[in-house]
Amino acid sequence: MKDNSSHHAAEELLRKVALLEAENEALQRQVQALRQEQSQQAAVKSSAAPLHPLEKVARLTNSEIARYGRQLILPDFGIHAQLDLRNSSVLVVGAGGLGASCILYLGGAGVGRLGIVDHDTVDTSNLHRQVIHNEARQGMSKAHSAALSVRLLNPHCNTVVHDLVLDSSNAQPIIDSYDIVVDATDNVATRYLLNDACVLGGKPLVSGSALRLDGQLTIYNYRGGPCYRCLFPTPPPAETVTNCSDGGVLGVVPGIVGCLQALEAIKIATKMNTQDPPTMTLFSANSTTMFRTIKLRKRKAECIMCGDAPTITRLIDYVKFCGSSATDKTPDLFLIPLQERLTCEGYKKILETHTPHLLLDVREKVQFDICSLPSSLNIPLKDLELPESIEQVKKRLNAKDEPVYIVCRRGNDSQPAVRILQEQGITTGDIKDIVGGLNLWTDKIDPSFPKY
Amino acid sequence: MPHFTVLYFASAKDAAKAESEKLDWSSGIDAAALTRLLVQLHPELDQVLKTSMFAVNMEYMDQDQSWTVQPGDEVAVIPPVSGG
Repeated sequence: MKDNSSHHAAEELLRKVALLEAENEALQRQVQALRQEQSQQAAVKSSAAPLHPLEKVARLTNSEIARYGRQLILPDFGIHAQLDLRNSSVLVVGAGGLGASCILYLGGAGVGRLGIVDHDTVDTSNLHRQVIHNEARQGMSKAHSAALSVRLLNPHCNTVVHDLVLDSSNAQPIIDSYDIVVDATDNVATRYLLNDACVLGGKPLVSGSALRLDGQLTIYNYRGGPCYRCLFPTPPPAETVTNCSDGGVLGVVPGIVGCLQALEAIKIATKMNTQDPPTMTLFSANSTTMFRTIKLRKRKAECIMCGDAPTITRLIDYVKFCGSSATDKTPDLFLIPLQERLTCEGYKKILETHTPHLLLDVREKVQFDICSLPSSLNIPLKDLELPESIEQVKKRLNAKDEPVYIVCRRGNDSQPAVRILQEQGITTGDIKDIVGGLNLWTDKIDPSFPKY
Repeated sequence: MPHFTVLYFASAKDAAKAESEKLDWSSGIDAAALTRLLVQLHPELDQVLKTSMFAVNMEYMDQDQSWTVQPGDEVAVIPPVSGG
C-alpha cells in the first residue's frame, strides 16, 4: 500500500519534471529565436541582381519532411509538388497589405527562394493589415522586416531582400532572376512596370489588388493568357486613382487577396493549374456573392506589349506613362499660390484673437466624425457646389464680409473648395485654406489632435 | 419589357452609387451604346468607364469586338483596382 502511493508520488514528480523540461526547452527556443532575430537584423543586407541561381535539390531533408508533412500527405500535392516548390523562386513585389499574407504563406509553404521588394518603412498605420510587421519594427525597412518574419517562421526558406524602388533601370535583372513574380504593389506605375518586365522576361505575374472592401486577382502573361495591358491598355488618370491612405481599406481584405496570390503562385510552381483557363477573380467583402470569377480571353494579338507585333520592346518611363509616382503616398497639391493661403500658425492667431470667421471642413463625413476643430461646419468637397450647400454656408456667416477659412485632412481638397466659394461670391471677406490641413495642425500646433 | 442587369465593381460602384441595377433592354446595345447609356444614367461613370473592362455573363468582352447586350444578360463593369 505504502509502496504504491510512493510510486504514485514518484510518477507525479517525474511528470512535473518532464513538463518543466518541455517548458524550459520552449523558452530556450524562444530565446534562441530572439537572438537569431537580433543577429539576422544586423546581418541582412540588400541583394543586387543578378543572384546566384537557386541550387536545386533532388530530395528533401528529414527536417523538411517533418515540417511539410501535412501537405506531403495530400494526394493532390505530395512529395513531388513539395520538391517543385523547394526548387522554385518567387519574387513578391510589395511587403504591404497584400504582401503580408502572401509572403508569410509562401515562406511557410516551403518556396525555395523568396525575394521581397519594398522601399517603404513600417508605420503604425500599416499594422492593421500588414500583419507580417509588428509594433517593435516601426521605422524598419518593410523588405527587411518581412524577410525577418519569414526566417523566424521557416529557416529553410532562402529570403532575399531588395530594399529599393523598382523602376525601369533596375527591374529587369531582378525579375529575370526569379521563376514567378507576385504583384503586391499599391500603385499604377509599378503595375505597368511589372507587367512589361514580366512579358519581356517571360515570367508569370500573379497580380492582386485591394481597396476599401474590394479586391482583384489575375494571373497575367501565363500559358497564352492576357497581360495587364490586354485588359487595361490605358492607365487611369492620376486624379481618379484612390490609394488606401485616402480611400481606406479593411485590413483583412488585402489579407484575403494576398492569400489567394500565394495559392496561385504555389499552383504555378507545382504545375497544379496547367489545365485552368485564364480568369479574373473579383472579391467583394460586403456583397452577398463574395467571389466572382470572370473568364478571360487569350492574349490580344494587337496588344502593344504581348501581341504579335509589340511596339514596346524595352521598359519605358512608367511614372511618365501613368502620370503618377511609384508610391501610394498622396502628393501635396499647389493649386493656389502660397501667399494667398493661411498657415496653421496664422489660423492659430485668428483663434487666439477671437476674430469672427467661419471654419469650413471639406472632408467626408466619415473622416469628420473621427475628429474636428471646434465650431467647424462640415460640407464634403464633392457636395460643396450644390445650391443647398452654398445656402448652408451663407446662413452660417454672421456678416457679409466675414472671412471663410477652409480646412481638410492634408490641405489638398481645401484648395478647389476655395475656388468654388470664390466663384459663388459667398463673402466679401477673405476665403483662404489652411496649408497642410489638419495633419500639419497636429504636427505644428496641437499634438493632442488625432492624426489618421 | 425585357431587362438586363449591370453589376458595378470597385470605383464603378462608387460612381454609380449602386452595386447593381436592372435596365430596360433594347436591341443593338453594343459597347459604345452601353457606355453612352451608363454615362447618361450616372455622369460620374464617365471617367471610370474610360479605363474599365466589360464582362458579359462572367465572360470578358473586348471593347472593340462586335457584341450586343441580350435580354437577361448580366453585364459587369470592372475598373482596375491598384491599391494594396
